[in-house]
Amino acid sequence: MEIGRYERPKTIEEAYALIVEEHGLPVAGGAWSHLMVKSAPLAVDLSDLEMRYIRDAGDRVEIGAMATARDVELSLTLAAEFGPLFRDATSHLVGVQLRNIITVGGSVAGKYGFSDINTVLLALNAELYFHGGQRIDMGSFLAAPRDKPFLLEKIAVRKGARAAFQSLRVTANDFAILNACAAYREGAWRIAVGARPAAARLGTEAARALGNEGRPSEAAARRAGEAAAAELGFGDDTRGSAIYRRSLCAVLVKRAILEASK
Amino acid sequence: MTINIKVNGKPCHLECNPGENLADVLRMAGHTEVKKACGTGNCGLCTVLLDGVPVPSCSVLVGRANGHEVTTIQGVEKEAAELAGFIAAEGAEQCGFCSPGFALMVLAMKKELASPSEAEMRHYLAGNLCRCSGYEGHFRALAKYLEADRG
Repeated sequence: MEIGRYERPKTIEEAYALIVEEHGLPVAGGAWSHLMVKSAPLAVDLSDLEMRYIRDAGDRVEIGAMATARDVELSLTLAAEFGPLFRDATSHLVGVQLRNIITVGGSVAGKYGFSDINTVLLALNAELYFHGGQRIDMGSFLAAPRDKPFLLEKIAVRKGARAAFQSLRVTANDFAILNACAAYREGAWRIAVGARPAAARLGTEAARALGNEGRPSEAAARRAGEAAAAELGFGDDTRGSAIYRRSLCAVLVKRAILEASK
Repeated sequence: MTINIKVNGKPCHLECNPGENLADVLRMAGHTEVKKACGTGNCGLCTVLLDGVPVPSCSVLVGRANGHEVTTIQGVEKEAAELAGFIAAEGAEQCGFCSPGFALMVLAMKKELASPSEAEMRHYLAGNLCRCSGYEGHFRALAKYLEADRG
């Protein structure tokens, strides 16, 4: 990647000005940017900002935008609240080396279709905090067009959800052919499906099929899986066809619901 | 842009574009012990330690490394040679192209995991691909190496 000017600001305000006013390309982990962008007049490296943390914040867990996938995989704070959920969604991502550099903020901001963690954050209805005071839920962010530059500071996940992640891969450390996360909180389910191969989306009919039953039967979980497969869109790529993904969706959603019901 | 990094403890000043990847820049500076294959962070061949943490240098912008310390296999020659003896004894080393990245990951694993099970070792080293050996020899060697290391 050809970069005209490379800045590594020390404050969030400085970074925000470079991104918004000078249209700098934010560099979080940087692992994908060199593959996706050929040149940038200005790159803004976010690594010196105080945004690498995972912390208990009372009724929620906050994940700094620069927390790495490896940080998430090993986080005792996330494990204490959500069990193996976040580990399941990060530990299959290529290798430890790559997980040491890719960031949660980069995955969210990039709205990457292949992302596993975006599917989990969508199911958990995570709230995104941007510099300047704007807050938006993960679902609205993923569905919104990419129009204005922004600086994502942190992602907040409310406690109190039971959730499980499922995926299928060609090889153990490849991106998923399809992934799914089911989350239950306060009498309502949220079902998210990602790697379709487009970005994660909610299965609202699937959630409706489950009603407010926190421990649905296998038959109810199967119906929800079928509803997700019917309502969501799927595409073809080298990892799988749309038809295959649709079939897989029904199975993975059912499994995620049953696992989250334990 | 001038990039100032320490490579294996020695200051290094490099004139390059900050968007180049660290692996290419290191190799151009003469550190051909850093191997490169996939260029996408998938194979682990280009692994170096950045401030002691293993990273795929093909996926690190050299601008990010500016002001930091890089360790290649040359920087841990003695420890790597000891591990290499165990690998050779098991017949696991064939073409050797993956060995620098593999050895650096093993040394990083030793620091990060106190007494790893075989499953933990396989998980930790899953990002290091070898197209010759089938891995079994590597893991036999690794078990013996760690056992010897523990005394």
